[in-house]
Amino acid sequence: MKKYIHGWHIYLAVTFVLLGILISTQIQTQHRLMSDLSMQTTSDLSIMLKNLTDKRWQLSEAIDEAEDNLITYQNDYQNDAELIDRINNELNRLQLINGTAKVHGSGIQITVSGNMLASDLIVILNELWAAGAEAVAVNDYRITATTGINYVDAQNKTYLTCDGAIIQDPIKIRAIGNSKILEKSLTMPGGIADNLSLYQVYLHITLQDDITLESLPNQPQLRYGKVPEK
Amino acid sequence: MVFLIPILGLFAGILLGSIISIQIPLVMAKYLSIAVLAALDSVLGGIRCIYENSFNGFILLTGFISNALLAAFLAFLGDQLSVDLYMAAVFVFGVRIFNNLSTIRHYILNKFLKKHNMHAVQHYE
Repeated sequence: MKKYIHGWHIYLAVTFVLLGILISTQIQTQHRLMSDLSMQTTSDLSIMLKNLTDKRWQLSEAIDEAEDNLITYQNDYQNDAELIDRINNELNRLQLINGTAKVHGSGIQITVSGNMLASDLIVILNELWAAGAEAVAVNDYRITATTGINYVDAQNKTYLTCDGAIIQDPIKIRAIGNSKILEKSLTMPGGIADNLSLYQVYLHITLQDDITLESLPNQPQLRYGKVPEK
Repeated sequence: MVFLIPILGLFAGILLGSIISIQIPLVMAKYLSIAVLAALDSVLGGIRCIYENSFNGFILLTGFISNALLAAFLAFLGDQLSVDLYMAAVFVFGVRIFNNLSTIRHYILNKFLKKHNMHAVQHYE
């Protein structure tokens, strides 16, 4: 009888240590589970949404105020050098937006495999802009505010086009911006990458420290729009 | 004083668990909870065996690990087959845990009463 009992406290202690680890892990997991967004009730989520929306409005008001300040400062130029510097900065910014200058910076490269529709490309680009992309190119063709995305049927195959220029496979989309945010905007659960995978279209995304996007070959001619005089 | 060693072990385990903080995927939380229940049942069974003089440390350790794994796996299997084996496991382990607890309580109580030359409590099973 005694031989069974010998050393019981050691065995029991080892088992209790394991039990302790299990319980502690379970408590931590439960805490994480409770704080996970998918576990919140609809009313909690709507309150969070409302708070975030309020915060967003507050921040956009702060931006308006800051822009007003900027205008005030711009009117108070003391010397020409500063003025020219500011104009140059603004010119660079506009060139970046309009795709008239080469641009480089951190970002992501998306290689698309599978047959993507023009509407899918538009959704991807829209998602990238919404995630704060500053410049985007599809197969080295810069996408700007006036880029038209469409498709043509040629040689029994459908090709996507940007401003009428055919985009050959494989389609490579490159975007400059916060690479992590850009990647998340596409790969979030239920996002565009998930949706496209249902149609056997897969996005291979790589984060890159420095990518260079070429400028647009031709600028759109503006004939009708006029800026009213201030 | 010997019985303090396992209790210290439990605290050491909880401390160790919170220090190393193992990250379990959230979908596994449900299976981990049933594994904890199975582990608790094994431990109480072990304590009961000490009082019944049939304790074997090796059986306790292997039973502890295999019961926990098996319970988690059965709950997972139940989810895959859309049969709520999870609830069945909670019920069975719950009943066993309370049974073990009541048996242990009776043994402790009897030991205490014997020590003070009082009548032993009838043991119900």
